[in-house]
Amino acid sequence: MLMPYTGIRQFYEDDIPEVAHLHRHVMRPDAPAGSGWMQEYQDYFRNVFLNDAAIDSGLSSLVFQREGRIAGFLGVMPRRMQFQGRPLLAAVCSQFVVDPAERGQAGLQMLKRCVAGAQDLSLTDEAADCTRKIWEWCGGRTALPYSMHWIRPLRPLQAALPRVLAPFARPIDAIVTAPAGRLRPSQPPGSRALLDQAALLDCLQACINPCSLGPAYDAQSITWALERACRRTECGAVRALVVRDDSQVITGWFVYHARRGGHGEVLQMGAQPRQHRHVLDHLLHDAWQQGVVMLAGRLEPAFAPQLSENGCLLYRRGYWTLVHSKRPEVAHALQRGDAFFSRLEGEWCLRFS
Amino acid sequence: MVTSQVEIASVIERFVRKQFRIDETVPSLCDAHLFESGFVDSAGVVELIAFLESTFTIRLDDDQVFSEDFTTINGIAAIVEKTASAPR
Repeated sequence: MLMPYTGIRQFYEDDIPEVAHLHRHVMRPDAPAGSGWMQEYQDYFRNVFLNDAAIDSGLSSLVFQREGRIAGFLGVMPRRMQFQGRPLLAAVCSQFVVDPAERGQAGLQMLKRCVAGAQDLSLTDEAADCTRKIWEWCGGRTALPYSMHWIRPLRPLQAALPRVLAPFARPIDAIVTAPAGRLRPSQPPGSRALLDQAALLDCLQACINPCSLGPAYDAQSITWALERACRRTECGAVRALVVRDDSQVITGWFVYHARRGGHGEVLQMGAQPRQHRHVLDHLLHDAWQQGVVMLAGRLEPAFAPQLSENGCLLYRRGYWTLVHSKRPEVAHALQRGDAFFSRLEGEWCLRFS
Repeated sequence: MVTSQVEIASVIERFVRKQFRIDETVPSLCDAHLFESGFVDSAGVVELIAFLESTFTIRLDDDQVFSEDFTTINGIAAIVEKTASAPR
């Protein structure tokens, strides 16, 4: 008779029900009982960790089994990237869950096995403090530039007060954000227009070259990433816009969630050299017009001076961006901020929502 | 320099109690399963490894960290004693 398996192995479709129960037990213990949640998990795992791109890459998510029972899961999503113009395979690690009864060695073993995989680069960008410790023990490093976030109040009182008090906050916000005031974004020169996937691909290819490391999207992967973002309806609609100057030359683009009366979350922004201010001005103005009260995003180092000049506050939001590579120069690119690595390439699109 | 396994276990127990806030009402930890008992989690293991390596001037390899012995203080003390006394 075979002994039940204990160890780490590849995650398969048949594992979904057990991993779903584990994930729900650990990450969502207060989730309401209902009949549809298992189907949601089935759809999620198939769409994110067992899709064609994941399978074709040769990388796989991992499960930890104790005597045949799944007690840990580490999601791995492959991402095609480029480093100094050459293709590179990255593994975005996400949904790292371990049964509380197995905490200790299992998590370390899983991560160690994961970073030893065939990928050139492993990364995660929504890691908690405890994951950072484990990650660094496995030889990983913290990419500080991509661990910083920024916020920009657009309607400060509405942003600060609970939503039920918004009717009282609006008149005061109208005064403090009077036209020509410092907080109210003014109409920048040039124009902006909705951006489709093909145009976004063009923008990415035109603007990421100054960085050593960047994504290598194709039509399928960019469509997938945007569709994943669009599923996060609780964050508001996704707006992707291209920005042009007065001569109709593209200066950059941005992708963000806009929620009227709520926060906006920037997923990606890029600009041609010396056009960062122009793009940021359009982003802030668009968010203002959409009724966003506070705009937030992760620091993209190329935009740091303009974010500072525009009254954006830099802070650490609680997440770390962590990297691991057998090629030190690849990890260093992220550590020194020499990468085009936005939330669209990270875990934002991998969340279970 | 700490040399005996009992002394090593005592040093580790003091660290574990202080670092992971296990009060004195909990009896001797030396044979307790540190992980199944919920005393130490994954991040705690990393802290424990760092403590062992700096205190006893040793380097632990993966096989030792992931071994069954590395689940109790007595087992860890045995690993530390063996590693510290091995020729370098």
